[in-house]
Amino acid sequence: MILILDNIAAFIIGSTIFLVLMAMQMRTTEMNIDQTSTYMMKNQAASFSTWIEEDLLNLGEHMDKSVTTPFANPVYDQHGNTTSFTFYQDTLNTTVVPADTVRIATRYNLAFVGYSTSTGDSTAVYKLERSVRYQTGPWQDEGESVPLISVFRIDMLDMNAQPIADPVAAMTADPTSVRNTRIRFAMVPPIETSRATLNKIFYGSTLLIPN
Amino acid sequence: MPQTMLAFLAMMVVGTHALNTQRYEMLVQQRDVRREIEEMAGSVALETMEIIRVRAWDQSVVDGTAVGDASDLNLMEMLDGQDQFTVGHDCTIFGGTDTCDDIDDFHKMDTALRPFVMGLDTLWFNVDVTVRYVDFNLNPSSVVTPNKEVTVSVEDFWQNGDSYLQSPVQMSRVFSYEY
Repeated sequence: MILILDNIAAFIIGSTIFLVLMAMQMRTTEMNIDQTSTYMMKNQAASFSTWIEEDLLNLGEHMDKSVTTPFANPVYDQHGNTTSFTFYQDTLNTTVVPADTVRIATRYNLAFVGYSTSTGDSTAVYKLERSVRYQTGPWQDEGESVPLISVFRIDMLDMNAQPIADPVAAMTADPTSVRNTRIRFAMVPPIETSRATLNKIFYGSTLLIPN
Repeated sequence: MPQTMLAFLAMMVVGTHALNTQRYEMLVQQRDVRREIEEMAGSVALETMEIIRVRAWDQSVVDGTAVGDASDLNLMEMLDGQDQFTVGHDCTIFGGTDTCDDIDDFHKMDTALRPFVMGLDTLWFNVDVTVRYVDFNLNPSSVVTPNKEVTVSVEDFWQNGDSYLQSPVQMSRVFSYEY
């Protein structure tokens, strides 16, 4: 009888230890996947924010803002995402007299690409398509973001960092009324997991529009 | 008896290992969340800095008494004591009643509560600002110089008083008076 009880106890203890080790191994694997996914997401967000900031800092370059408004009003969808935004800059060739300029228009389009599921939540994801036009030429595709964007918004701000409803009209009336461009976006992880520490990361930046 | 002791020991080892793994996971999660909040706090700091940047450099510029040459430095605000500027403004831009129309009006203003909107959710941050004169080497100056250093400190705000950030996120910029 003692032998049987000993065997039963050994079996229970062995099974428990085995199950605990299995659960820990699975959780550690999940955690490593989560960390890798988070790292990839942050990496993608960092490079996206860098290029879009560099791009937007060219808004209105070499342009006389009292004559021409260097952007078109952002277009928003029902969720508040900016679906389209166009801005302008001029090149300046001072080797000729009078100095020659070429107008460059840069357009962002937010394109729906599907849904991402993480921790049971389904989120609509988009990619940002960038196209460029020189003078009155055709629009040319010049780059796009990874298809991981879940929130994307560009606002034109006044001196109190308040969004302006119709920035083109405001800037036409007063060229100094629009002071900053604010960009905010969120990204989802590239790897869909059942448990994630961060199922979205958010980024925001406020950029000065040079006079 | 030895088998029981060994089994007990094995359970303890596995239990301790499981506890350490859980603890590590919790620390990793807290670190990830903290980094995200730091990112948002940096964004709020930058936005606040831009609000201050577009203000006039000094009240004398707003009043029109500054003429745009070196003699203007004699007109710039400078108080004796630890604080070089008036403190405690409750600026209208942050929901208060005081018109803060030049850079130093934000010095030690009442703590402002600023939002970071995340889709349908919003996180709130406490914002504090200090302003001081710095010399051309960016060291603090006890006399008027054409350089004002603005430091924005941002900390996350929660109703229960908790904070994920171990210390406020700080951003400093120096704005110079052109003459």
